[in-house]
Amino acid sequence: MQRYILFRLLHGVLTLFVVSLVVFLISRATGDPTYLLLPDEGSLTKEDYDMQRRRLGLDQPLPIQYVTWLGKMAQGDFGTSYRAGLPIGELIGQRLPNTLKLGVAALGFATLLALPLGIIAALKKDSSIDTAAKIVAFFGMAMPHFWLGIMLILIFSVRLGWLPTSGMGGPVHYLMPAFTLGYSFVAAGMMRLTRSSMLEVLDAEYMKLVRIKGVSERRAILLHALRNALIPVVTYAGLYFALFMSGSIVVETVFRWPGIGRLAYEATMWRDFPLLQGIVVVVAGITVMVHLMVDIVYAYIDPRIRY
Amino acid sequence: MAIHAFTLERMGRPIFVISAAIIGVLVLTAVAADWIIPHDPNVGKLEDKFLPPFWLDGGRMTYPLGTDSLGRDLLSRIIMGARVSLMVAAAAIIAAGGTGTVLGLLAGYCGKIGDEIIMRTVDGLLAIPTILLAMLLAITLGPGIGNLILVITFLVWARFARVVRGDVLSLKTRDYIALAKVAGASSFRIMLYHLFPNVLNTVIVMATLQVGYVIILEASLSFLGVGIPPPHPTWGYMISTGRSHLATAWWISAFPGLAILLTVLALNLLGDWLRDTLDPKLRQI
Repeated sequence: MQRYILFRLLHGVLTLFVVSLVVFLISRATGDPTYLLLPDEGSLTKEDYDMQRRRLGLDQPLPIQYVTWLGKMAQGDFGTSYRAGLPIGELIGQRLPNTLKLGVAALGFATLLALPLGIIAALKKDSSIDTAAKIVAFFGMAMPHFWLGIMLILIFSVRLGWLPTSGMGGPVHYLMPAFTLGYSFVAAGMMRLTRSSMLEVLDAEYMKLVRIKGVSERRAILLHALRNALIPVVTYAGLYFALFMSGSIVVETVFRWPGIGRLAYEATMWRDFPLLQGIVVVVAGITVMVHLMVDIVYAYIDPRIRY
Repeated sequence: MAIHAFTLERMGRPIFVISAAIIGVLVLTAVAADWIIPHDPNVGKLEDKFLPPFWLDGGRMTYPLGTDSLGRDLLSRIIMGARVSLMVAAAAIIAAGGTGTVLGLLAGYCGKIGDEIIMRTVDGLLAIPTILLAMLLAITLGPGIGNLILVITFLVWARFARVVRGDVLSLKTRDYIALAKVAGASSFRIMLYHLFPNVLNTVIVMATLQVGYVIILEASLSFLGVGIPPPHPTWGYMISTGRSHLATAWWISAFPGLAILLTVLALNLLGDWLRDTLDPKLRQI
């Protein structure tokens, strides 16, 4: 077990290293980063330019630049956003909780939708409920989430006037963004996973034994089948949470949600490279950590997993 | 490749017929767009702006799906958008599928250090949310169709590499590979003639399923303003321009989104069908 955790930890660190290298190389491989890391002010004199180059450490060899950059990052120093003029770490710190809140709400939505539907679809395989669940899943995967969000705004805000179009406030503000994020990103995959995992368990030898023992059908399903069928679903829920980070960019933009996704969008619009770079590194770091935790939790819930 | 009776039987399934028909029509319209479109997609008549689709009050048959804020015909723009979207998606999938397959074969077959390097790169790339990485690349590379294809390829090859490697790892232990080695076949020959044909089905199925994903990705990027630059009409950008006119002209956002939905739905259904036909073991991807 300890070896397994250690192994996973090492993989996580390596992955983070690759992420940082990719991000660093993107900033350096596409021409002179002096312009990229400086506000777009048009008229830089030669002296300004040289001074900035030295200030940013760009006159150093590449490997040294990388190590310096990595060292600062590790201490939480992501530089200064040149648009907002604030430390990037601070900007991200302000917005991150909002994204996490939205993520939790979306995961809740997805679970409420996907679990019951997936279980019923498995229990009543090939029935009309199974088909309906399949249709819900297929539409969820084929629908561009930003379009779904806009259509929800059109129906529930513009036409019916029931829900606020955007922003963050009371619980009603969560409804549409959480549904959009939850449905199109997770519900489809989670539902199919619940269904297939449930089918697999229902077919297992030990379920036959449970039935021979004379356990009631209800008890057999709720107590014996469900518990095992949910193992992969729980692990995937963690992985899906990481996926939200990607989805939240679009969804937060549509609903003007003051989270990290919208910050990334703003950074792109402002061409604020250091800010976007910081966001990418932070989000990738969170993703790697979530994956790591999921792997470890998985090993604890399922004793069959050993390295 | 001979068509088996099993495949023939499955080709009669309604799912296949419908989804193949949708994609067929779409590709044909995209190819023949120049002759089909009723209006110039980039030039509008300002006196005809915000016309609703023909079945609503004030709609005209000359603009079947209505017009946008500049009086441009929505149908013509959606058709031209199909051309751009499909072109970008096809190019990116071919490039990503090719790169991913080659690197997946290398990682799976050669193993050791090469495997570690390739797979950690794959993990690293998959850990960065796709859209964020695409935005970062878009800022540095600048806008353009070529750059967008490059960006999507860079984001998607890792998925292919991971699946192909997994397949190769299990194929590698089969007797026929050991026999080929004994017969003196070089690593290159084993990869090309003995492993590649066996992962081809997986790659084809994945490519079909990923095209839909790539179309949504491209639309998301265009929606966020880092995809295909105007004046090219793209579905994502059209949806984004319609946002500010939701209350008065909902059709500007609604129809391009429906086009995406229909296309991706058909592609995913076809991919599912292909998977079940070519390789029933693949149920999980």
